[in-house]
Amino acid sequence: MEKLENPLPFHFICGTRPKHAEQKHLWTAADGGCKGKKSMADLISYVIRKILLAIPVILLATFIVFLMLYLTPGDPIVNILPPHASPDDIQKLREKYGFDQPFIVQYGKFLYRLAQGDLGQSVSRQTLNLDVSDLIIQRLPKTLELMAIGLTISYSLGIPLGVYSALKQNSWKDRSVMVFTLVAYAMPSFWLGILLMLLFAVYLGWLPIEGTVGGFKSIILPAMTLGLGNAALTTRMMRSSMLEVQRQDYITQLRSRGLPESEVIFKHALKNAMLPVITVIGLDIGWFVAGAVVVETVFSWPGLGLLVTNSITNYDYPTVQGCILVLAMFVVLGNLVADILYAFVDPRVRLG
Amino acid sequence: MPGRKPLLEIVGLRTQFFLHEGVVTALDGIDFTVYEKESVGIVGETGCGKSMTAFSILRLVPGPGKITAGNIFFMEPQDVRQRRMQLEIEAQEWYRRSSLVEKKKLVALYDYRDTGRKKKAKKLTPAQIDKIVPPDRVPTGVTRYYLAQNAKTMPASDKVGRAAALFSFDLLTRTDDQMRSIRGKSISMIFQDPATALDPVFTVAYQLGEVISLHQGIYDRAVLDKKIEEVLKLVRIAAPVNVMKQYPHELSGGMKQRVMIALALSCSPSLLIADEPTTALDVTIQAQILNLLRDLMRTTGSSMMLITHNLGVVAEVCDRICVMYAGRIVEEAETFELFANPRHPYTAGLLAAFPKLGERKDELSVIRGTVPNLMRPFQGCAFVERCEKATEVCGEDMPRRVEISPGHFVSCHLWTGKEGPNVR
Ligand SMILES: Nc1ncnc2c1ncn2[C@@H]1O[C@H](COP(=O)(O)OP(=O)(O)O)[C@@H](O)[C@H]1O
Ligand code: SF4
Ligand SMILES: [Mg+2]
Repeated sequence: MEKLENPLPFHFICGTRPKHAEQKHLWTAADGGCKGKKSMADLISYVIRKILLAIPVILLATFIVFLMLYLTPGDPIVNILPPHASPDDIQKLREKYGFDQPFIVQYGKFLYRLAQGDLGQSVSRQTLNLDVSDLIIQRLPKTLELMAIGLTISYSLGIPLGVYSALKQNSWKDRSVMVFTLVAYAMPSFWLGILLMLLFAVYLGWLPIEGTVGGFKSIILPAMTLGLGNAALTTRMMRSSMLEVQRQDYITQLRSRGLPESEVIFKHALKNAMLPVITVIGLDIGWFVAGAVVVETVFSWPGLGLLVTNSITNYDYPTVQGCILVLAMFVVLGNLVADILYAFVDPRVRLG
Repeated sequence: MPGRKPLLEIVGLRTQFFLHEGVVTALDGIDFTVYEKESVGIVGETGCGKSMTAFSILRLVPGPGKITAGNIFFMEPQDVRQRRMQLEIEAQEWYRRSSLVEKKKLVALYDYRDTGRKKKAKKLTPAQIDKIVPPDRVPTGVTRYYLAQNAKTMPASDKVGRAAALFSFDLLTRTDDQMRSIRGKSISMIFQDPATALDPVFTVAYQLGEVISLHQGIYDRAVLDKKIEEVLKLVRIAAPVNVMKQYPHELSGGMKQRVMIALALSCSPSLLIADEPTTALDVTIQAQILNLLRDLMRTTGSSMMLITHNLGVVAEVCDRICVMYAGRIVEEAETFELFANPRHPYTAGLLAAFPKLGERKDELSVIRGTVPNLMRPFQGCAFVERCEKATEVCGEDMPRRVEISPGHFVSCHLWTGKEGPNVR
């Protein structure tokens, strides 16, 4: 690895500079998160390599979903046509859309179009002949919004709670946090969603039941449903990681140098304890994709998840394929972001 | 040692771990002194409490452990020290003169406070009382009780008297904040394994800069960088500027230990505690690090407490040696004296097990038996089960610490009552 030309500052990646460093000008030329180790060129080549490697994975996902839809009994044509349509009409339309062709030909056509950047047209009754890409673009912001707020809730709750729990190890406070996380994690999200809905929307009437009409208010319940389970997981991870780090020699060593407890815990221990949590952010995003499908269905949240479930019930193959493509990309991107973050926070890890 | 100023004076230090299964007495009444500008070695088998001594001095005893008795006087001025010793003798007198009822009350109080026993002892016979509190060695709890009474009657202008009576220079009376300003600045510590003792996610410069700015109030970047470079040069790192930018994982073991030493010495402490600083290193590196430590101690004029289980190491570096066994110091002497005239059977055993240069041994002579379980309270000498010279009395009475020749202390019944001629 050649010497650094164009350093990407640590705080650029991580969003924050240690406060201490800023206040006391401790951020000397010689320290910093990534200086001297990871250059911009390395980063870009790494990202490109990862994305190229991810393409087969994404295609595999679409293939499996396509196969599963193909094997399920049922047909989009029946849904499009009125109930009294003649078998002849059905057959004609089927031929027109190419649903009479063998599986491999259909999938090949999908790939061929995909290579030209065309995701095809919807074949469900409500959105017949609309471009799938338009449908996705229209729904995508809603899902992104939901996932962003869900992730925020999950980390802004999970990390501090985990640290708190570790600092109060074995006290009743710690125990109650642990019980809470156990319950929150064990609860299936659709059930949690319904319970939250009953409490805050039906019983208390503070928040809208479903849909998006309530503006920001309407995203609270779905985002909470999405984020809570992961918050519980993050809490547990953060707690055990923090406890592990606190047992390390270097923490005692830092104390033996007279560092105030706040710096020992919130700078050194926290940064080290965050590492395992950062590695799973990629996995978390995968879970969030799956969770979004459920939560959007429960709360009728008009995002990709709802689109996918509706399309599946209508045998709208092109739309399902398009959505799966995008969701799989989420997972891949999530992993990529986590890898990069991890490499920049932990100097021992190199991209590559 | 007449003429030398004590820097650190540990008196009757006891550190215990309170576990579900019982109380582990890791340190059982330790006494020793580190004078200014000297290197003291602490030698003993694994688990005898060497590291706990170090952690107790810094008041960093982990987990369920607590310092339950004793004093750790650090940088006590001469006049305060003399006054305190006077007062301690007074306290002893006062205790001896007090009635049996009073004694009982005091001992019960002491027993409760200082031994960590859960319940106050109810019925005590005079013999039991004398066992808990030997009349010639009144422990901290009782002394402190007397002195605290005494301090109330002293005028506020009598600063020395009050400081002496209130144990102001005892590290155990310091607040946490005061302790923090002592750690790393006046007393610093080097750990055994340099591989795990540096924070892996910060650069060498960051970690050094942190300590320097904390204790010396230097926040200016350029000045700080210069200072860091100087400290790294001090520990003979050839390319300090490069090392500064590196993370711990990029350094070799010996290099890391040098950085650890730099961290410990960056604020010129009066006392450096090195807890097995070379155990985790290669043999060739060990010699380098030891030489470095010895030279640095000479040039900076700090004192060092070198903890090790390797007699060869202390022989080379230390002026004086304390031999520890099962949480007690069994023998203390100048290095030469200890090697020439080991008095305690345990020391003799250690030395016999230690191959001398040029000597070939077909079989290392090892002391038979193992270290006793520290959870069990000892009636008498802790070494009794492994000692070949043990007598009846050894299992019953704890041997007193006696000075058999100037500066040579032994705790063994073989030597009790055989104090040297010119010793008090
Ligand atoms: N966390 C702990 N819990 C219980 N006992 C402990 C703990 N740490 C140390 N001890 C006790 O203290 C004794 C001395 O330990 P230590 O000072 O680390 O020995 P060493 O001489 O090898 O450095 C051990 O034998 C053990 O009985
Ligand atoms: S006191 Fe007794 S048992 Fe202990 S070392 Fe001396 S002779 Fe041996
Ligand atoms: Mg040790």
